[in-house]
Amino acid sequence: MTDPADLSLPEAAAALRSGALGARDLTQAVLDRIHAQNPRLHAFTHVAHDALDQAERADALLRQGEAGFFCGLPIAVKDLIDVAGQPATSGSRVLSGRIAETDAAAIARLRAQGAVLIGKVATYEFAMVGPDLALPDPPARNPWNIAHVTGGSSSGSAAAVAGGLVRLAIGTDTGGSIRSPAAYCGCVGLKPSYDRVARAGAFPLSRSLDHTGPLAATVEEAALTLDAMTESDQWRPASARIGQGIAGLRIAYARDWFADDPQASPTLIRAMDEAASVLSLLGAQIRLVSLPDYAPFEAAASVILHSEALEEHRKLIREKSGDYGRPTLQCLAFGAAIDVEDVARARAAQARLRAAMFAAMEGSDVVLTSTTLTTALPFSAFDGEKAVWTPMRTIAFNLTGQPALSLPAGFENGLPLGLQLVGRHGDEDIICAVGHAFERATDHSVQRPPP
Amino acid sequence: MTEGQFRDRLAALGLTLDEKAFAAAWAGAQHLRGEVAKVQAYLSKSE
Repeated sequence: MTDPADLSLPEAAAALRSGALGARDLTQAVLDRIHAQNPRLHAFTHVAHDALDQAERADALLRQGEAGFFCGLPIAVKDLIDVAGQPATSGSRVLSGRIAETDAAAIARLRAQGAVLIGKVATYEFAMVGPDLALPDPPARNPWNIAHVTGGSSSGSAAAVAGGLVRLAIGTDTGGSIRSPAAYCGCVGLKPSYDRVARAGAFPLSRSLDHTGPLAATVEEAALTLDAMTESDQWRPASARIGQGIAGLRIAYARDWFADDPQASPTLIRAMDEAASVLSLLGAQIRLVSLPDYAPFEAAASVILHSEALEEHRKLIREKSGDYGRPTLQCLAFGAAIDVEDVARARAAQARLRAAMFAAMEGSDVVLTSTTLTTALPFSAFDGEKAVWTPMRTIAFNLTGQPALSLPAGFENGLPLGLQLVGRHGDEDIICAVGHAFERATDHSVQRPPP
Repeated sequence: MTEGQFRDRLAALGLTLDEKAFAAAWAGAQHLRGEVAKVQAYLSKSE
């Protein structure tokens, strides 16, 4: 018999509704998994003391037939996002001891359906830089090889899902913080369109680039979660086209965006080429496109991000600079090199880059490219004083606000690789349909890390 | 921006760093000024 902790969200929801499984039993199975695996992975920083109480309330709702889809389903939440009654430290000594009084807006929507908010998972400090071995909570470890990082900043979210501790965790993404850890750890990460999910109650890193979204074991689970978190009904459901096939969809393969970079390995390039072939065999029309150069996207986003991050922290720095981790404080300091005119120019560039990206996508439904250019680095790469940046192809879509999905696409030396599907604003249903079709046609997403 | 100007801005923020941390922050600041230059070059080219 399948361990309840391994049931997909739709399987578990069906079992809860039929009475074959109780929410309390499901929650207990997940708690057992957390207690068995977390000492090795350090994904969770807090396990909810009232998890079983929440589950019993969900069971009561299920018995009354008043339950939403998420009723009784355990969900982990990045410690950048408030969950009422649970610690909310953003992974920092600066906010040590802080307990959230209310749920973040996106979390409130899940709780309203009866979800079991089972605990908080690790984040890079204030979603900025990591891993930082000097912080009180040890950094999350990559389930495929614990000598390697998870990527960040949704580090615990990715480790918890990929390690099989939970099926679903909520994260945030300002420059790739949902998609890159998903790629490095071998799970699904969905960054929604800008403004689709309310950001209130998540500690801001850069308000004009921040996005909140799910990391999940499968595309369908990520899509269903996004639908539950979506603020208004102006958006088409992300799960609307799951399983409908992708014949005729026009996919722009942005191969030169990663393959022309010397950091991209032959194995990564081969994995992306194979993904394009699989999607072609499924009936999609693949054509090679050249997207606008990546460097200006990264440059404009960096200027905006560092300027806004420093603004968010100005007061806390004055009051508690000694409580920040060293790499975070250094990173915040970068922002002091930016002037108001620099930000204005970066915003002008943002508008032009957005238009250029939309023009390059003309005649296409989806862009296919890689999420990162490498597999997860070892912890030993982060020993020095200097910041280590890992090459990714993610921040462009924080700048444009387009939805982007990362999902497993293979392995290199035992570590996962991720492909990225990008849609037009509001087209989460299309990228999720393509991702789901790819998932079903390959076995990348059913691989599990060694115990 | 000179190193001195950067120091002054950090001081105004109340952000004190030891010399090793300052060196790392200054390196990051220079990198970020490089990103500013890239933005300017992009805007000039795309006009």
